[in-house]
Amino acid sequence: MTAAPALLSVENLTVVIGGAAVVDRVSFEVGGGQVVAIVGESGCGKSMTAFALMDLLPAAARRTSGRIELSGRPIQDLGDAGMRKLRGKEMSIIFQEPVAALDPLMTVGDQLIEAIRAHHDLDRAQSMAHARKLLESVGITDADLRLKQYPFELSGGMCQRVMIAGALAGQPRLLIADEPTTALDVTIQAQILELIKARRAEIGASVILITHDMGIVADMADRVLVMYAGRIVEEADAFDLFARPRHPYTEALMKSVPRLDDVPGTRLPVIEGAVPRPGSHGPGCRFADRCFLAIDRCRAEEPGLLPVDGGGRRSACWRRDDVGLAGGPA
Amino acid sequence: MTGFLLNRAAQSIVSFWGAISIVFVIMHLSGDPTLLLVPEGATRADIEQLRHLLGFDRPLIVQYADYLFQLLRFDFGASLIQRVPVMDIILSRLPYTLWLGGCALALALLIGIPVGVLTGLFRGRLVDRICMPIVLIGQSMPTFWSGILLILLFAVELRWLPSSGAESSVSVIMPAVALGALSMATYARIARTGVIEELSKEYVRAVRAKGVSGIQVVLSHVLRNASIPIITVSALEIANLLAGAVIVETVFAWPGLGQLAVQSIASRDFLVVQGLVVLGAFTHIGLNFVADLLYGVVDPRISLSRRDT
Repeated sequence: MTAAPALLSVENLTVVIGGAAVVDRVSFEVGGGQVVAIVGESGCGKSMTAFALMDLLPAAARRTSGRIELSGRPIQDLGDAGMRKLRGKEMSIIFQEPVAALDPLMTVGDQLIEAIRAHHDLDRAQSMAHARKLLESVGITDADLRLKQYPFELSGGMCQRVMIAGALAGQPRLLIADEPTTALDVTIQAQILELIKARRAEIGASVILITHDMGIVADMADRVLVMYAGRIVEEADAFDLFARPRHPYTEALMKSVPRLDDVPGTRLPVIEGAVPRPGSHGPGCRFADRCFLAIDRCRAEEPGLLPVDGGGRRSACWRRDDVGLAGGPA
Repeated sequence: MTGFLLNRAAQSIVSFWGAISIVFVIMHLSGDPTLLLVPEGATRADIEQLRHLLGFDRPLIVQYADYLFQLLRFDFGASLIQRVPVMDIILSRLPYTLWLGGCALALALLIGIPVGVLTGLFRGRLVDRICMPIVLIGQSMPTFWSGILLILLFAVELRWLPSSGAESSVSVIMPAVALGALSMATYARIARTGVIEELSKEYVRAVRAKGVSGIQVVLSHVLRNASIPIITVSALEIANLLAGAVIVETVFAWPGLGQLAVQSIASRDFLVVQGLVVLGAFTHIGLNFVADLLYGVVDPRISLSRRDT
């Protein structure tokens, strides 16, 4: 675990939609300059966690508990006006669908200027010059042409670069990347990840990287949070996690990534079943029904997220000592 | 953009040509148009004379060419009843319908759109729950019925407003309300749906994530995006106002084009009816052209995507 003081500290965060918790008593920290990945299948509460941090939850969702500290300052009760000063300046977010995240009727330049002017007192010409610099910083050539174009005239990868440029306009200390490459071509994915890495390093920001792709986690993350059905089920340094998962869900996620040394013709292991709908799980571990290690206790009693192996590593599994040994699921 | 406009202008001209040709065909399809025009009890000699006078004894193609050239000069012929050019009759009535339609449209836009935007922004809240049932009532009331209710209340019971005619400056109020109520409800619903749909889009969250205030998001993003369906509906709504004027002008004895149409049909003054139908077609096509033009102004995807073609 890094010795740097935590940039972001989240304690007991719960988000409810229609009476069911989609994010359930989640606690974690993000250190300065750290890349923390939140991993899990669709519907695990990863994006809701991110939106809750920015106070940008959809209308149907509500945060019912949780303490969120940014640089030691509690921000959970700031309200919209207070959060507005932080958004884009202290913390930024980029989204899964870059084309949908840009206003279709506004030029790229105007959208960047909007981001710049939200936090800087610049006139239009100065903002435009700044916007051009931002586009160049994310590797867009022909910046002058691009500034005048509309999102529909740009490719998805190009739109994501524009989003990144806008998100970093205020030099935030925390960048939340919500599945930033999921909607992009494979060849573009690597470029976008490289760009996030490079820009992150330049401005010294921390990153919360939300993904379901263990390959991206291995490539980018310092620390990993594995989420399942609204709960964090495992937390570990990335290196330790890949060395030995301590939760059957983590292990299953890893095994469902295709590897070059797989024997050709064998089927890729999949996790049978689906994430339980919020509020529909029993009293025990939420993963029990899909878990190959489940015992009676798992269905009766929910395991706590308890330290394992030292180094701030935690796992919520009654059989944490039996996970990650030889002889897991085929 | 220019190419797009030229394209649409050409399409409009073709549509208009089609519409006036259909009017011509209908006039001649129903047999001898002279028989439609003569009053009852006319002698055979009268009919022959009128047929020759109007040129209906010439070959059809000559008549068609003549008809087109007349229209090009805005000449609709002369009314058989009033013995004055149809154009003069229409022009004398047009200001009344424009005034009534304009007031109704202003009412519909100035009340309908703000109500729609507010109920959309505060969906499920008090303002939404109060306004939407009223909008629904407005939309469910046929104009002829709401018109009569208005007359009973404000003219008969309260005696605040004249029941009919256009003599007083306040005469326009009741017909405009009756005519505009339906459009108002339509605008409110379209604006509400548009705002709700835009608010749920990802770019709204993305703009807020930049640190832009909620009101700014609505003013500079949501309203512009939600205006596209409003433009679409406007072309239809304005045309509907003109059609609705036929009923409202009859109920309130308002001396506009709608009343003229009803009177001309009753007195079989078919050249006036023909002139009104051609004018109606021209208005519809013109409004749709203007709507297309506005799309191009509001939405770059429409004007620019045709850049290369």
